[in-house]
Amino acid sequence: MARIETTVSSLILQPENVAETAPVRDLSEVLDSIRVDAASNAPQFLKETEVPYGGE
Amino acid sequence: MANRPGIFERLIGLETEYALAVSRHLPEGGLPGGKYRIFRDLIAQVRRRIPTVDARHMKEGVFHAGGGAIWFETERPAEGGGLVEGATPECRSPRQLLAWQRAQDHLLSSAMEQAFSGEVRLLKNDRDAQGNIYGAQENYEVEFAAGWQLTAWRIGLVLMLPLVAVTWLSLWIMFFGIFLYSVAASLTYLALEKRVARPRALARALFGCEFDQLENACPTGPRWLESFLSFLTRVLTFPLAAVLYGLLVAFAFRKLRRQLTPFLISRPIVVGAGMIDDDGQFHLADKAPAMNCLTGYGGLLGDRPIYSFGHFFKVAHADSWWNPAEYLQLFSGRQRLQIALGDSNRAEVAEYLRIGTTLLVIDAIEAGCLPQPARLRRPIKALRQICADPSLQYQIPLAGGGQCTALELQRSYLEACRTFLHQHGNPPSEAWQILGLWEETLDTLEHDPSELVGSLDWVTKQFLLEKAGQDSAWEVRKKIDLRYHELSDEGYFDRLQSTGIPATILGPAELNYALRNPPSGTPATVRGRYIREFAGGDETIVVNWRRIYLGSGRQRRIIDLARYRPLTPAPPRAASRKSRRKDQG
Repeated sequence: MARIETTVSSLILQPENVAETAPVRDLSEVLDSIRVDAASNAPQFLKETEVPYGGE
Repeated sequence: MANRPGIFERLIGLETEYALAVSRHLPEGGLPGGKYRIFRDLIAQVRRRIPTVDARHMKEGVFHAGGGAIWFETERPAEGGGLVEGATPECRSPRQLLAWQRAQDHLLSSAMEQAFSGEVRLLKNDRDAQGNIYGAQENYEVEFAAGWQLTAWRIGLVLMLPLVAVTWLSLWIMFFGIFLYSVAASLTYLALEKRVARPRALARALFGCEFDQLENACPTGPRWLESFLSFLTRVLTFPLAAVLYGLLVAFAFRKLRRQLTPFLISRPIVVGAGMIDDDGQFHLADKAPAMNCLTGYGGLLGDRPIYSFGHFFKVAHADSWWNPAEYLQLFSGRQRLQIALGDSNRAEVAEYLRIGTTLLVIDAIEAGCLPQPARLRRPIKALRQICADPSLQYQIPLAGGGQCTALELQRSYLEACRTFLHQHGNPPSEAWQILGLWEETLDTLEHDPSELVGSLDWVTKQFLLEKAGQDSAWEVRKKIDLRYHELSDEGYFDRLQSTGIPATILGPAELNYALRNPPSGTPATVRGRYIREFAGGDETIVVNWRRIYLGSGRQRRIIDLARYRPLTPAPPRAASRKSRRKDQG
């Protein structure tokens, strides 16, 4: 099988090269924030994002 | 076949319909035509960020200096519908297209944030909680047909002209009727305004809004008129739609469709965005389970096709009704193949693979280097079954007997593309990069998909649902499904991005460049530069995908962008030295 000349890791940027981003947050903290937000007014959010008749 | 493009040389582009999340605190959310007013405020903000000019098109929208366009997708706005559609400029390589798509996402979301301070946000997804479908479309310039099939298609177009003319005439009569209605409604209102007890209610019934707000009125009028016109337009255009569809099914992209379909059917395992259905079941893709046919017009009669022919129908009945010369573009041997199957991706790797692998397979097919793939017994059913099985074990029944998994199908295309690149001799390095990323992704999917959290959308969404929505009510899980796609700091993918988990391909410099400039080597290069130079100036400028109209009356000049489509970069022969200098920056 032929070898692929370019490695995939060369394609994906390392975090320090991505941007002037905010300090990296802890995953469990982010998951907690999503859990709390998702449970808050979920039916209202589904209503607010309705797209009657859709699109193409 | 000297005109056939090489690897990553054809024109490609993405269209994305963004849903609007409108806070209940904002009055526009509940008003007829409210989303149209939101669109106008959004465009006002976009104009502050980048030069724009009005589009010369049937739809309302603008083109910007990045070479792309922003449209108001008028799907029954008086009834609460309507979407913001962003169309990338024409690009050539997958990385180029990824950069301009991401720049578009950023431009629109930041302008929306500025215009409404978070009260309206954009969702880059494909299905709402009620099951309405919209979202992503991919465009690839490909060979329409060859030999006797192309000749037969062109003869069909000529024979269809009387029907086209009758359709145009009926549409003119309909629009004359709308004009008469507008005059009659205005006179009626002015005559009765002071004699009726509720003049505002009268205005809303006649115009869909109050009389002094007519400038911001819903483009389709009051609800009853919108419903009537929607029905009437379908009736008037149906004969043309039916005949044209017959021709398209018979001749359009036949070889390509035959060889590409198994690839597209199995593609959701890599590029699907994930979705929770009405029963709480997880699917690999958002849009794919709604597909109900291989070809169609895309929503005209409830059809949800994998290959959409809607743009051919628009040219035949709308664009050429406006300008009959547009009908000639249907005769071209190279046309836009529109794929309506894909999802709107948030993960950069998934979006890159969606564009890159599809483009590579199309290049291999057009070069005649793709062996005949396995034929699926029932493609649409197989697509739904593949999407309903996140374990990726579903065995797809094949037409000649036997079966295989979606992973095996993807691997067969991967190997065919590898052979194609070796045969080609000197493919671009990006083609090898995509092949490598594709192979590594398939390997990881086979052994441990959880390693692809942050790289593939369906894996990332499934991870979020397990970690943040386990044992929750359907509404909560559906909110996770939808808010994953929200383009704001509050969106769940963006929150996840703050952990550094999602893999990133584009650097900030690439994104910043794409935010301000058109891509190089395509018609968008010229379009974007003209817009930057002439927008806001004394000379009138309007633009569409094919031409730029500068000035008015006898002074008007038309720049035909078809001249700027060389497969190998070379200065356009027909351009003057002066305009050539301008086009080259």
